[in-house]
Amino acid sequence: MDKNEFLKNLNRALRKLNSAERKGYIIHYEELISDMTESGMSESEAVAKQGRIEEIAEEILNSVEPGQLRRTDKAGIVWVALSAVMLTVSVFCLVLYQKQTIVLSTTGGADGPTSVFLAAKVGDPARPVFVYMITIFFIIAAGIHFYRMHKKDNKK
Amino acid sequence: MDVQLRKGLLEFCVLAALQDQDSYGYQIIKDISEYIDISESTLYPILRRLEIAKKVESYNTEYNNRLRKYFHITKIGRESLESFIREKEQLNRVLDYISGGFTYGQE
Repeated sequence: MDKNEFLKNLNRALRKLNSAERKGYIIHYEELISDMTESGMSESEAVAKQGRIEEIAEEILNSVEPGQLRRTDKAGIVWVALSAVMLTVSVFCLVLYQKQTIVLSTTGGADGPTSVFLAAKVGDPARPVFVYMITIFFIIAAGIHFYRMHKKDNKK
Repeated sequence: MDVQLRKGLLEFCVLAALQDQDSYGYQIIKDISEYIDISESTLYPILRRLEIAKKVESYNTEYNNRLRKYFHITKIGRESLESFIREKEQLNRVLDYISGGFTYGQE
């Protein structure tokens, strides 16, 4: 196993930690392995010296404090769920609208009371602009939320 | 050695390794592994704990085109190390008691 593979696997094994803590460990191991290879060890030897990843992760996670753990991002989950629901509704509306325009054009020959009836029926869900606006709002809100979380994580 | 006891002693070993000069991960391991068994995976959690307790501080220095994290013992760290050393006598007495009345330096 080379250094990069080791660090990648370690990163995965430490996913319970929050990103700042995880990054600290990865940097620490990267430095240790570099120091070892520069003092004459081969890379695979230096990696082997660290021990098994499962054991390292277990040892680290055993001595972890609550503040170092990853928090579940409840607000993020809510924003994503709302965006997903509204996106589904929007797509549904879009499909419905297109179908009805087609129906309308094929029944273009309707006249008198029939055309009035069709127009009324099609008119309602035809342009659910409101639905699209809410959808876009939720997606932007989710985006802003994750951007701010990302910035906060980097600051730590 | 007992896991809990070793954990506590390792913290003081790391502080002791830093008392004369600032040091970095690999050097600390090399310095204290002469006296106590320490694996690469145990060091960083200890340093992190000491850092959270404000007993050490860290800073990055460039070395060979990469960053190396150096650790520096703080005043709080020195005080905690000194108070541990002051308890040496008491610690020795406890060790004597545990080992069944055998006392050091006496025939």
